[in-house]
Amino acid sequence: METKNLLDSHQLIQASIERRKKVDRVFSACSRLASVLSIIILAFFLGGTMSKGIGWINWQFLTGSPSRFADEAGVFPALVGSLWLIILTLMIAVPLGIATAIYLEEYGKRSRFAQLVAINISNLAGVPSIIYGILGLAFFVRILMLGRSILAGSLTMSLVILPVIIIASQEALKSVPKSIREASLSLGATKWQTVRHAVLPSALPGILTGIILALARAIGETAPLITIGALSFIAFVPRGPLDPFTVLPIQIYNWASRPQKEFQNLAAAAIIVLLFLFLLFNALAIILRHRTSERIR
Amino acid sequence: MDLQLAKVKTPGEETGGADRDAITISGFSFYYDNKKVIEDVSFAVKERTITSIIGPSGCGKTTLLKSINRLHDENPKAKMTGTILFDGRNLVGKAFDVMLLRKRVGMVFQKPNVFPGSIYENVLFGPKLYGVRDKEYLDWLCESSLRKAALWDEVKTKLTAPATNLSGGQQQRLCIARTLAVQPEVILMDEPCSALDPISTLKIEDLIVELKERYTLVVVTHNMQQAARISSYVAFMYAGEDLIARLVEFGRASSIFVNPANALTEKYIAGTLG
Amino acid sequence: MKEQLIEWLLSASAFISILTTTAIVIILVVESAGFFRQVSPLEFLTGAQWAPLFKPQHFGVLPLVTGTLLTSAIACMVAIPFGLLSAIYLSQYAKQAVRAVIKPLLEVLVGIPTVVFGYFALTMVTPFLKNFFPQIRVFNALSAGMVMGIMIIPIVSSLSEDAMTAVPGHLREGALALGATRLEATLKVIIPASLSGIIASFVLAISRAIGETMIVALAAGLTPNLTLNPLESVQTMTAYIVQVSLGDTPFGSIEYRTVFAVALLLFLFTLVLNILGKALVGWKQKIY
Repeated sequence: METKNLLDSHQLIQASIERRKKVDRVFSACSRLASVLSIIILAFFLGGTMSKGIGWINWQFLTGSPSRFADEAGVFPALVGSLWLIILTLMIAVPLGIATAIYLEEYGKRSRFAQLVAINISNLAGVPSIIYGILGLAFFVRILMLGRSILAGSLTMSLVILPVIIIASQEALKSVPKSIREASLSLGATKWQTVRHAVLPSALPGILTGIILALARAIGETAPLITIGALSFIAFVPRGPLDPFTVLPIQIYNWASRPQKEFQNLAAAAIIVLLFLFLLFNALAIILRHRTSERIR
Repeated sequence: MDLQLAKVKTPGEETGGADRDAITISGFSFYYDNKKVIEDVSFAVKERTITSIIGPSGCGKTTLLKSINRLHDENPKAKMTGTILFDGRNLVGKAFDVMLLRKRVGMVFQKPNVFPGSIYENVLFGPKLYGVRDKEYLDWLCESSLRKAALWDEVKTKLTAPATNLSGGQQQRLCIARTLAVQPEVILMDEPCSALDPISTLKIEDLIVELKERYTLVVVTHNMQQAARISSYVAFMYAGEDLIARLVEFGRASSIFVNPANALTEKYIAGTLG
Repeated sequence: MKEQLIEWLLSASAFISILTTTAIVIILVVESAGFFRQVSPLEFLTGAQWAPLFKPQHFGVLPLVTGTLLTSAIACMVAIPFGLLSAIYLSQYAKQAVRAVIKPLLEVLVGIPTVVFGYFALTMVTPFLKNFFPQIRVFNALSAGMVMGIMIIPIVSSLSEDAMTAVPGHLREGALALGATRLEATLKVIIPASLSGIIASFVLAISRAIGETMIVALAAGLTPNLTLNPLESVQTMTAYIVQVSLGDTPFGSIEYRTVFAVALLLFLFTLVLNILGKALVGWKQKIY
């Protein structure tokens, strides 16, 4: 067959290489920009919010109650509500989540039941949080007659973050080497003793990280709580788990939806408080992660 | 269009340089994460011969091979010193354009690594990178590369089938065809048969011996019989207790296997080394 | 004996997940059934007017669906290109040190309370867009969609990156050894080899966008509007649920039940997408 061998052409090869190297360089720069663009934009947004809201943060803001007058409005009931919510949610979700993870990893591994549970958790992790609100409304608020209370809110929020805790705890348990379990069992310990005294302490940092991250999520969740009826205008501080309540993100939503500029700035101030807490939790989780990976090394 | 009868010519064919150096390695050392891994290797790879690099696993053979086509460029922890001379320039450092280098020095890997796509697309992956679009030429190149890799007859009717449908041995020959399609001068092979069954292994060995008519081959292998069967030259590398790999002995296959100069080499060949 | 009890307790905890799913399904179906006894499913699914809280009442859910799809589509137009580019950069180009900084930052991004993003969209993005589109409304789908897109970039980038990193190294090396640039190796070998994982990330991102509430409630608007014009105000399924919850709808009324019907539709959308996404991730391409 008579064909000119194109690849013999040194010029062709050289020109092609030069062109393609240039394209690669440009692409590299573009993709690097794309990676950080969202972070840069976020920084802009945060900066803008800071400048709008920082002036409104003072002692009165943090300890006062919402009011029709922007200068007198405060965020205290919402803060207290958030705090109540977090504590109650933790008390419910953490034991349930860890127990489920222990069951899935240590006890039920191959059973059909465990597989069914795993599928459910996987699905629940993807359900929009507002659907949990619907569930909470129908079940906790109505059927269990808990009303629009903190308890109903905490139960609902527990269900929202349960998949997060379970999955994180599972990962932590998975990372404990088999040899630890085998050693404990061969010394005569029962399964539970092995889990409680040998496996759990080892997995604890990972579990804690998961809990903190779930917490960070819970503190910012708004939709499910609105749906179960957490009010958006609360002028008093809740005193018991059956009291109506509001939380910081709902307060923000309430203020942000108002057209007046002062309320927009109030919302910004409340956002700063919320983000402060949010970043605090995230920082804690990152530090914990670092500590544990240091230990492994 | 001016058509000329073309046969793929590799440099050296014209001058008939059978005893010239294709690659000269001299004082080459390799560091990973600031730890020395290979120390002071020096030997020459002759044109259109098969040079085997043998030695127990973990002794730096693959690392050395990958240094020749600079696959370590991606890795910031890898550092190289010394000289690997190719076409008058040092491959250690940035003197040689790496993309041009990789056109002229091809590599076949241990596990067949066919790309997603058809057999046809796999073979022509390299040439298409250079923007070659002439269908007639591409078809010819595909057939010629597959013939040289002794795979044409088995796949000529199913060029559009996914490459993953082929058996292990066929996939490896496809990888060889793919490498041949860019018309390199040197072909590096990293244990090309270790993932294959004995029959495929023999087929590929035969193929490698055929290829040396036109290409310079450097083959890493831990199979000594294979090295003895196919090589013209052998480099024996070994890492001692300090975990640093060194070149223990280099020479013609005929002398190394029959009458090794180094006691260590003798032990390894006799199978009494780790 | 104690061991038995403990194992029983643990499995009871695990059972709660099954209960939760069952409860969600039962509640949605039962309450929606009540709704569909009064409003035909056909009218619900194909009606173009949604006005359950006003007289005369209309129960066509299409405006809510288009509102959801419009904002989600805009979000994906942002998240998919940027997410994919980020994934390529992080898995193929970035040095380990750079990755170690950018990855956690992106993960924090996706966790930021969505009401904060809604605030950004309303107070910063809309005024900014007004410079280019003077006719843009205070509430509009574009701002909400764009900010939602920024929020879900990490979903696309993280999952795609995982898929691309899982491609065996010798495939990438093989491409480079043939003279390919990193971009060529990525486009011609790595992405085809990890395609199912990458598409899974798109699907899961869409699902997340559809289920998003606060950003759209704050920035996209609370009036149902059957339109494809992103500069207009729209209401999504999720925003509708919020609107009703903030109001004083009497329990058991048909208006109350609309919430469940809409929620059921939302649940089905995300369920299908999630199952599809999981299936794609689970489906490993032949040898890779």
